[in-house]
Amino acid sequence: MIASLRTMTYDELKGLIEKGARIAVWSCNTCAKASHGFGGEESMKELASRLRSDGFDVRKEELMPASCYYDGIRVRKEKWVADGEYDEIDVIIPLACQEARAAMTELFPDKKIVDDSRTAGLGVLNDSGVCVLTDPFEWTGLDPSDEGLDLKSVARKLGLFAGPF
Amino acid sequence: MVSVSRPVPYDRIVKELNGSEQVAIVACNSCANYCQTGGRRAMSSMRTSLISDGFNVVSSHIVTKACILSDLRGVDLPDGVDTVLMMACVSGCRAARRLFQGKKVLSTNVTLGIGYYDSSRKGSVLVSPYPGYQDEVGKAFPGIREDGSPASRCDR
Repeated sequence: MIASLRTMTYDELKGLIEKGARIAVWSCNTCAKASHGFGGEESMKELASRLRSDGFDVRKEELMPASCYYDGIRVRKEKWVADGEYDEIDVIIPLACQEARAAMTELFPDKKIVDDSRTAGLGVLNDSGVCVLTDPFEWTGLDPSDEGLDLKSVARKLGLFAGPF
Repeated sequence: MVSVSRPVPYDRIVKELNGSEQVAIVACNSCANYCQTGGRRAMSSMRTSLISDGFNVVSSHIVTKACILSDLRGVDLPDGVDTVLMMACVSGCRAARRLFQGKKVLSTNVTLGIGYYDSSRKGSVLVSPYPGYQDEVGKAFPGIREDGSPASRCDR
């Protein structure tokens, strides 16, 4: 289970997107959802709705079971192309881990993909359905443990955010 | 979720075992399966190798995702199991240590980091490495050999 943290606030996100840009909100429904709801259907719809009410042009909402499957991303891209929608998107906001974003950057080289998440490391999904960080990456300065660390406290320590926009 | 892993050499795994202990194998069927370090086929191969080498394998289990406690809790280990051999990434092993307390938990895999699965490259591509594996970034595991044939656990 990948432990994903958000790197920016909603206001900071809005500041990165030009008014008039055509937006797709793209969400993973596995690890990002388990990372305190950074991703998942509800967070995706809520973000799309907030952006629309703030005057942004959100054209698409894409929910994937898991966004770390290169083939799955490619199939969605091919569908956009087949449906004539590919050229109607300028910006993708991924609610996914940074590894999924790496795959998306390869597959959507002409789109702006917002750099809005950091992977803190691997974790375990506990009985309440929330990911705890057990094996942090070195850059976090945190220690590994079987019990794991709550992502909200990890986010505070790292100056990042846990949960949805 | 794609953790990227490669197998610990078989000789090193069996050095941690003795012929009298009862061994259960638990294999993750998600990320480790993509790296061929878990899943049914790798589990079956490990079971066959251990039994033919005289080890006492009493059960083998497949779990959808070993890093999900509720998935792993579904594993019903027989009474008397001493050692659980986890064919999973480091998160799956952490979960196993929490649930199978009092038993020896051994990992058959080294977790290199996190990436994405790409079927055209026959494996999972490492994007974010753990320390010591920076040189493996961009490579696929198990990937394809130089002659174009797929690499597999048995080659290692």
